[in-house]
Parts: sequence; structure tokens; C-alpha cells
Amino acid sequence: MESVWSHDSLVLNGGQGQFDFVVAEGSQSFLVVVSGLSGAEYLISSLRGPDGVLVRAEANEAEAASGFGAAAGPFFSPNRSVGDHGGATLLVPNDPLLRLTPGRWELGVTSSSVEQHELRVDRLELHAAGLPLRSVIPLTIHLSGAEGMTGALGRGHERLDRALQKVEQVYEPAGLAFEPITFVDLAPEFRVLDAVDLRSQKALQMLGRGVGRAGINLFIIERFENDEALLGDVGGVSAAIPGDPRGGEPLSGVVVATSFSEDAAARDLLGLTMAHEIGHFLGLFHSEEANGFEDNLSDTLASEGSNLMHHLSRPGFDVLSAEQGMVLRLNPAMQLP
Amino acid sequence: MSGLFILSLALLVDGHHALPAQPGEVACWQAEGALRTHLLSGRRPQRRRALILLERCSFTLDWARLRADNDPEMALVAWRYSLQNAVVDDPRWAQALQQLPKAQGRSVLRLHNKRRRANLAPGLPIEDVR
Repeated sequence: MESVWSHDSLVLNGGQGQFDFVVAEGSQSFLVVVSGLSGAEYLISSLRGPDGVLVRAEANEAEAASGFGAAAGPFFSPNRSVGDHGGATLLVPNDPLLRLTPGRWELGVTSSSVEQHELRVDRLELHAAGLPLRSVIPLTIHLSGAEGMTGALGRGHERLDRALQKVEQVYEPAGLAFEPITFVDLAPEFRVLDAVDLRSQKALQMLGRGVGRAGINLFIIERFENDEALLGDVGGVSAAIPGDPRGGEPLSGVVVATSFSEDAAARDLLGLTMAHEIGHFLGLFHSEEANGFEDNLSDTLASEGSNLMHHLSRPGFDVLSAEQGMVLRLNPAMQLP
Repeated sequence: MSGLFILSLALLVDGHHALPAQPGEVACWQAEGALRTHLLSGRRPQRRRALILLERCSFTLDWARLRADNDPEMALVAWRYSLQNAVVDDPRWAQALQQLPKAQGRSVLRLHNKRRRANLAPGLPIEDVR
């Protein structure tokens, strides 16, 4: 099992561009990271492989009524694609019922910036004989000192240890472990972020602290201060779905806030929030959105209501389905134990 | 899908993502009872999100009681609402700093500094207050 990066560029004209690449024999999956202008929005709006279309730009009438605008088609595509700021990412496949066929593929990118500009297109492709039953991924935890959590203490901090135990318990049945887990200190200035969208200069500086640390970079802060009046109504955020596993990049990281929930064990949601955002980072969507839309997986039934990736965060919502486990292990950032 | 959304407004207290900025009138009316129950007896995120939704629905709230809440994070949200339109030399800034623990007080300080910079006005001697 081996994952290999390839690096290319793409010029967008009028907010549109196409990119061709070849998927090798024996590839199980690939992850694309498109990096552009920090002030612009991007969306991988089309993807065609040798067997047909996996991401389509066009939406039917019902999908167009979702209010997602130009993002509706990609959102409701067989291989769901969502946009982001400064770039976009896509895991293929993000539904294990889809198969990756070797051959020539064509990817389309749409941007909110119509000025001609060049994008960086980085692609990580997983070559393996089959899907491994067990995988590992490095986890680096950046500690801003919120609630006394420091790199020196690491798992010696009771609440952090409890949260990590929860994360490990949630992912173990899916065949996923976090190895190694490394604790590093983050400057106290990052204890508070002004916004949850991770677009501010401060947020990008913080994500940049993950440079050279491949895998998952988890930043534990005290709080998000969304606007002047409100704060704390958001528990965590992933920089992208899926995130960029290189570390240090604008779409590389997961951020959670300690102030979101109480630290009493029975009421603490820190571990669940960490697990949920890591799920997004590795390519999972909400099993059910607040507006009722469901993911594409056949075994994440909204009626069951105990899924980790449900849009609600409640004690006991900590189950991952078999297909979610397969999506996680298809992420090319995974390694063999 | 809009029907589902209306029914789920009170459920959103269990979410951990951004809340709707302007909930609909019918959704608010349907959810008020459940939101008030969550505000009284829920976990912190449920209480905080219920408070935010009740405020966004323009329902009446006992702000004085909320500012003195036993959970400092709840008290902080209530104080920040109360200071939303306060001028930089309003005595309530100092009152908030006196009442809140250090971590939550820092949040009030940041808000005060932001307001002061925006207004280009001299600030309170906040450090003396603490």
C-alpha cells in the first residue's frame, strides 16, 4: 500500500477550468487539493472517469430548489463535492459503492473569481491491492493552553485524555487508529478565533503551524467569537471536507473549542466534537443535514439517529457505519499499521 | 424540506455548527416551549444555543438572571448581549469584568478593545477594574 503525490497547475479563465490526469492500474482512491486565491471560492464542479460522470455541474429541478445555487449539482452528485474558500478538495470515491477505474479522468473547477489566474492542483493517489481492514493516520494535537491543556501535559490532562479516549473508541470499530499522537504547544494568541470559517489571517497562521506534520492537525482552542454579541455556539470545524493531509496548508486542520461544553464527564462533548470534525476532515459528510438532506451512503439511515456524523451532537451519537469506515480507510492519507 | 426545517429548530440546540441568523416566525413560535426548557435545564451547548435562538426569535428573556448564571459561559453570552450596544465608557463593562471569571473576562476585554478601536474613543482603565 502506497500513496503518491502528483503536482500540476491549471489556468482558470472566466472562473472555469478543466484538468486531465491519468489514474494508474491498482489505484483504490485519490484526493485532489486545488489551491487558488485566498479571497475567492472554489468548487470541483465536474469529474468524469472512464466509466462515466461522478460529479456533475448541472442540477435537476428538485436539486436546484435546494437553494445551493451553482453548488447544487456537485452536492447531489454520486461523488458529492462541496466548495471552499481559497481552494477546494475532493476524495474519490467518497461512496464505497463507486469504483475507481484506471485511465484518463477529467476534472472541472469553478471559481467565484473570473480573473484569469493559475491554480495549484495536488493529487494524492492510493495504490493498494485492496481496501485494508485496518489503517492508521498520524494525529498532531496543537494546544493553545485552553483549560490548562499543554504539550508538556499531553494525555496527563484529564479532560484531554477523556476526549482522546472517546475519539479512539469511536474509530476503533471502523478499523482506524491514530498513530502516532503528538502534542505540541500553540501560542496563547490562538486561544480565541474571531470566526469559524478559518479564513482570517490569524486562522491561516494557526493552520500554518502544522507545516511538516502530515496526517491530521487538531487545534484545541478556548472559543470561537463569531461576532460581537455571540460566541460559543460552534463547537468545532474542519478546514475542508476532506481536509488537506499535508499539514500547514490553508485547508489542513480541524479546530475544536473547549468552552463549547462543560468539562464534567457526563456533560462533556469535547471528544465527540473532535471525532465528528475528524470525520469531516477524512471525507465524511453529515449523515443527515438540518434541512433533511442525507449523505449518499446506503447504511447511514437518518431514522437511526445515533450516527457520529449526524448534524446534531448528542451523547450516544457516536456510531460509524460500515460504509463510513470504508470511506475513511479509502482516504489516501491512511497508512498500514 | 422547509417543513423539516421548521420542526427541527428546537432540535438545533444539539448541533455544533452555526445557527440560522433569522429563524422564521412560525418556526420560532413552534419551538419556544422546547427552547425555554432547554435554556432552563439543558447541557451548556443546549442552553447557550437555546438562548441564542430565543433572542433571534425576539422572545422576552430575564437578562439580569442570565448574567448571574452559575455557568460562567452562559453568563458571558448574556453579558455580551447586554453590551451589544453599550458605548465604551458605559459602567456595565466594568460590572461585567468584576462579575465574570478571568477566562470569560478576557472575552469581554477583547470586545471592549474592539469597540474602542472602532469608535476611536478612549477606553476604561480596565486593568484597574480587575
